[in-house]
Amino acid sequence: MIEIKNVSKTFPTSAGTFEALHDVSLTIGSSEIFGLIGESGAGKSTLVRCINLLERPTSGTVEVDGRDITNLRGRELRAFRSGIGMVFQSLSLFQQRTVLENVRFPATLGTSDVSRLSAAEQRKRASQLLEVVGLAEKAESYPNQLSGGQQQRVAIARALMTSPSILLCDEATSALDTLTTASVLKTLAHIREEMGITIVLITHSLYVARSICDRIAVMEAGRIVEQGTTKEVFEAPKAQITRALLGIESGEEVA
Amino acid sequence: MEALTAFLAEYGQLLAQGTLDTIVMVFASALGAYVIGIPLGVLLCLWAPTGLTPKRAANAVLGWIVNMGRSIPFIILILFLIPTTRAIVGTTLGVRGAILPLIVSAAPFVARMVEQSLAEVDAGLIEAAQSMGASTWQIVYKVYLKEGLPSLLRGVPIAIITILGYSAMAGAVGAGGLGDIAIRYGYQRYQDDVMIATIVILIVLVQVVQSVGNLLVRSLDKRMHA
Ligand SMILES: Nc1ncnc2c1ncn2[C@@H]1O[C@H](COP(=O)(O)OP(=O)(O)OP(=O)(O)O)[C@@H](O)[C@H]1O
Ligand SMILES: [Mg+2]
Repeated sequence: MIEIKNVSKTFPTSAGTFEALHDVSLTIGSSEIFGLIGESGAGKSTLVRCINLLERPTSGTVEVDGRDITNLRGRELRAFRSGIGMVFQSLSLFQQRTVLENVRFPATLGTSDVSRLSAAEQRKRASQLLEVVGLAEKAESYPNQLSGGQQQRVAIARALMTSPSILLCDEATSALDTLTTASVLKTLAHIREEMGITIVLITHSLYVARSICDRIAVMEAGRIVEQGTTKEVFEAPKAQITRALLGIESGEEVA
Repeated sequence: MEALTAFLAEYGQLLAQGTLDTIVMVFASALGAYVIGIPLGVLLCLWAPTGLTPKRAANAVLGWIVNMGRSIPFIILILFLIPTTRAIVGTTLGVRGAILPLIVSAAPFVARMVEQSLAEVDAGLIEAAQSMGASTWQIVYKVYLKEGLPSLLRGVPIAIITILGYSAMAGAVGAGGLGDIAIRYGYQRYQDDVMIATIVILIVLVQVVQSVGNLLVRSLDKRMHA
């Protein structure tokens, strides 16, 4: 479970400070697939990056499974991070390593239980994960020999290497075409079924949100303006911005 | 043909020794320059304002030292370093006397090249490694140096060829090697044939270094195996 409590985040800029998150509170349940939508610049990435402390909240706290992680540092922070997988929009595979070594990489950092496995056992686990994402036959390829969708599935396998309890996806499918997106989403849904992992997913695509998320929060200008089950949000959007995102004219009755 | 045989009989030994001296001087200096330049380049990259561990003051000081090293013309540096070289190496003459000044002058240059190569590594990869819980040191050797390797290797022939150029200048003040031969025979005694021979050898050396470098990069860069 992830509990974000009254989190604000300000960035220093040349024109003073900019508040990217304003008093955001949000609870994401275990094994949930939680979607974050909102306009560009709304603060979605900043919020998700507060969960693994790639950004540190200016105020407020983040609790993961009941533990306040907001002030973790050093080794403790690294060990905590290794328990959270993250997949980025940009293809972030190591170009000079094989697909298998990419997947194994998190295990080589000495921060998690898989680090204690022998190299051979780590490779075995990495190939099993490649099977999960349907790319077992690409183990010895290099990332530039793979398509974008394949690379993103490798990134997902890599994010799962340490058996994280949470997977953060920041527009993981934004660079992909519809069919590839569908296959990546299928992989994510499959992983949730298999591993009971919590998935937090930022997306611009209503199709993605609708097809995979259990619940959705809508962000606008650093605040969460609406949240509910996917069905609620899609069928009875309350906030102005949600209606706009769904392409519904303001004031128009929703059938 | 006969002229060539006669020339080689007279100067072959000298040119061979000069070539060997130059090669030893250049490669030993390049090695030393990289031993110093890689850590400096890594620090410049890490401490930069947009680096992994920004350190404003330290970065400014280091950058200033590196720039200073690069702004002193080599021929002046070698003279300036004479007392230091004598104290450390025991002599300022010959190949051994030239290596220290060559290292001192090439290391800052190598540091900047290393910094440049590492800066080219995709920031997304650094962030991904961070999100996995990698430490700064792990990011340096598992991401920066590994992913930057092809670019680092592309810099090696550039560094070696630059040092080769410096080494000829070192010849002017008694360092030995091809530069020394070109000056003593080609310039001071007007022996054009010796001058031309040293030039030909230098050209061949440069070509070989560059070709071997290219080959290495091609065989090691995994992005080209598509
Ligand atoms: N390091 C930073 N320094 C200054 N401002 C920042 C920084 N990171 C984010 N911001 C600002 O915070 C706001 C929220 O950014 P964020 O990346 O969270 O938006 P987002 O909702 O993910 O947008 P997008 O959909 O375009 O990815 C933006 O206005 C952005 O310019
Ligand atoms: Mg974003």
